[in-house]
Parts: sequence; structure tokens; C-alpha cells
Amino acid sequence: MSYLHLPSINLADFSKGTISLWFRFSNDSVGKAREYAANYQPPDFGDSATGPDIFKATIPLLTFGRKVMAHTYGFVSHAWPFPTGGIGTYTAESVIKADSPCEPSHLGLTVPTGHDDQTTVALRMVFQSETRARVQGLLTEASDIHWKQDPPDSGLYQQYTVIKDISYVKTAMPETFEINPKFEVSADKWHHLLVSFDFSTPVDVVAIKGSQSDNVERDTINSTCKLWYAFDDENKNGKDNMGDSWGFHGPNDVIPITAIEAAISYTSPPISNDSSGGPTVTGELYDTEYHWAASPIPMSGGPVGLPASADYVSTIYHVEMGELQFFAGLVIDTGDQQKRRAFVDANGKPVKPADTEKALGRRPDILLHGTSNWKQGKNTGTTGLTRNEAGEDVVIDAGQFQHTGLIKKYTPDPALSETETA
Amino acid sequence: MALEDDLGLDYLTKLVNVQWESGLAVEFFDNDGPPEEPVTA
Repeated sequence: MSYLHLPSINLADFSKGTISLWFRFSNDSVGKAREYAANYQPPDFGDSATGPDIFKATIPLLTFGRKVMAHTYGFVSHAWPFPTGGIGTYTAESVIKADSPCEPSHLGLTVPTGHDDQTTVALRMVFQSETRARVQGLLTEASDIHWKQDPPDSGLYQQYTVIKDISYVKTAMPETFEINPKFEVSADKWHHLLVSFDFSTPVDVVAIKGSQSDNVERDTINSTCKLWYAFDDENKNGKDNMGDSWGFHGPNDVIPITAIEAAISYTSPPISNDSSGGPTVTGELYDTEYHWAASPIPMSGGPVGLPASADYVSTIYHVEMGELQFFAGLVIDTGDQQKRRAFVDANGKPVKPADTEKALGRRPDILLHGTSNWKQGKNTGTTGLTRNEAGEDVVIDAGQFQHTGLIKKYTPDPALSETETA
Repeated sequence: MALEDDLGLDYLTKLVNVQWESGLAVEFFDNDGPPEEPVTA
């Protein structure tokens, strides 16, 4: 198995960025990723508590950033004495059982597993932050259940359930953006992905009870972030092309995944009734709110891997790649054909990085250009090669990728089919 | 200037002192892929 691994990149955390990558894959790799998913066992922390799935049905292409940890919650059983004798139990008090890693920020492909709605190979783009949202009104539990005679000394018992807001369970993972479009990505041909994002806006969602609006979800979302991407030189946006993180507003508006849950929970969570006339409920019942303080992607000092860094080698599959350009801090609108032409020319072929640099006015922070550099892991972006005052180029050793296994020259060079050029 | 315009970072990468191989793309393998080619002196 082979991969490139940069252990610790000297690149500041960023909220905005642009990535350009050429790739292709085979149906053989899809079959192996499906087989891996079928046999996947998430980490087990007891009490039915499991950690996040990592690359369960994914063919990774690029991973980046420091490791981010998620809480895994378990539940504790409590005794519930009945007034007529006997003891029942209920579960309450969510407690952190363990911390385990989240999926890294990555570009990849998700494959159909037969257990979900996904029927074709599709893009998957994940951008993982380190910051949890502040939420309320998303989840409650019974923190206490007791019986009380009502009226007093009547021998008639009412059940009292004290409700506690445990919405924090929904933020076990620091917030993440997940872009999982519906369109199919075909095997055995070159593809180009150009993605740009701006996650610098704090996201707030506040429930609107009793709204008569025909789009309550949109109305509850007070602010969004932005993402643009083009696939095979075709600009993509809107609900179907953004997937789980689409922000219900404009075509390029995105919000973290828990914000989506808050937006569709615009009424308070229901309290279950019992069969004897319903509980008397006291405690914390809040209207849904969600607040995420925009935090950058944790990049500085983290690894970068192609197709994945050393922690994820068990999910590396046979893929072909070329011409990676990674810009931190740069935002482009992929709907602007002139911007796309900085990466894909009118004939559907890669633009020389020197010409991209001229078009955008800056060098990429990570650049893997040309077969030789890919094979050797030579990064000629700003983190791998600097130009000194004398105009000489100086290699930055710490910015080079370590190469493991056979990385082989592939032909033909990247190109979109001739009919797909604009 | 003309040389830089022509060669750009293609030229710069040659300065990194690697054995040059033309082309733009590579392939990565999983565990079923071929073994790493022996390095010859």
C-alpha cells in the first residue's frame, strides 16, 4: 500500500481556503470500500456507547488537519420505586464514557453500502472544526421520576417526571461541515474537483414556535457560512449538490450538521405521555437554540495525507491523482468561469501551476505538481519551498511529504473528456 | 524572465534535486498492489 504523509505542516489554522485536485478510481476500489464497510466495527466503549465511524464507506483522496476528539456518551440506570411495591428502572444522566477521534477533514468518495440511501459513488467533503456548538432544546431526559398522592391521602397516585435538558449530547462532536452531493461520480475516468469555502461566519439558529411560514427551517437560521465547488469544470450548488450541510438559504450557503438538526427542530422536543393520563412534568423545557462561534480548521502542526495520512492507511484504496493545489485563506467563486480557468483550461486539461499563480496572484501553500514530485512527495508550495531575498529557491525539509510504498507514474495525464469543455 | 515564464514551477521542481520523470499523475495502491520497486544505486 502506498501514500504520502506530511507529519506536521507549518500552516496556520484557516477559515477560508481553496483546493484543486485531479483524481480517478476504479470499481475494484469501490468493491473493497464496500467490503470494509460491511465488516466495520466501531470502537466499543460499553453500555452501547460507540465512537464516530471513520471512513466506514469512504475512498479517501486527501486528509488534513489536527486530530479532533469526540465525546462518547453512555447512560446510567436509576431505580424507580412503584407506589404499590416493586421497582422499575429508567436510564438517565448521560455521562462521557470516552473520547475518540472524529473523521479528519478530507476530500473523498462515499460508496453505496446497501444500508443507506446512497446508491452510487458520490463525492464526500468534510471540514472538521475544533469547536462545539452551544445548544438547548434538542434533547431531554427524565432526570427523576417519582410518585405523589394527588389529592393528598387519596390513595390516587400521579407520576411526576422531572425533565433535564441534555442537548449537549448532540454536540459530542465538535462541529463539522459535510458536503455529500447526490450526483454520481463515474469510475475509470479523470475528474477534477475545485472547492472553496468560507467558514468565518458564526452560525446561529433560533426556533420559531407557531410559525406559519412555508420555510420555517430557513427562517430559524439567522446566519450561514459559504462553500463553492466545481466538479469536472461544472459549477455545483443548491440543496442536492450541498447535501447534509446545505443552509436552507442561498445556493452556496452551508451550516454545520448540528445546526441542520436545530433548524428542523423548530418546536420543543415532545415529552412522551404514559397510558394513564400523562405525566406531570417539571424541569427544563427550552425552545431550540444553536450557536456556533466560527472556528478555523485546525491545520497548524497537523498531518496531511494523500490519499490519507498514516493514521488511516487501512482505508487506502487504489486511486490515481495529480496536480494538487491547496490555498489557505483564498476564496474563489467557482461559478466564475474565469476563476475555473485558473485550474482547468478550455480543453479540459490542468493549467500549469505557474499560470495559476499568475491568475490568482499568489502561490499555493501545498503544491504537488508533476509525476516526479508526487512520487518523491516534493511539496513546492509555500510550505515546502521558499524564495529567499536573493531570488533563490530553498527547500523546506519539514514541509516535504514522506512517501511510503510504491507510487507509480500513471498515464494518461489528467484531462476531462473532450465533450465536457466549456 | 522569459525562462521563468516558460518553465515556472516545472523549473523550480528540478532544483529540488529529484530524479526527473515527465507526466502529471501517479497511482497509489492498497495492500493488494504491487510491492515497492527495489531502489537501485
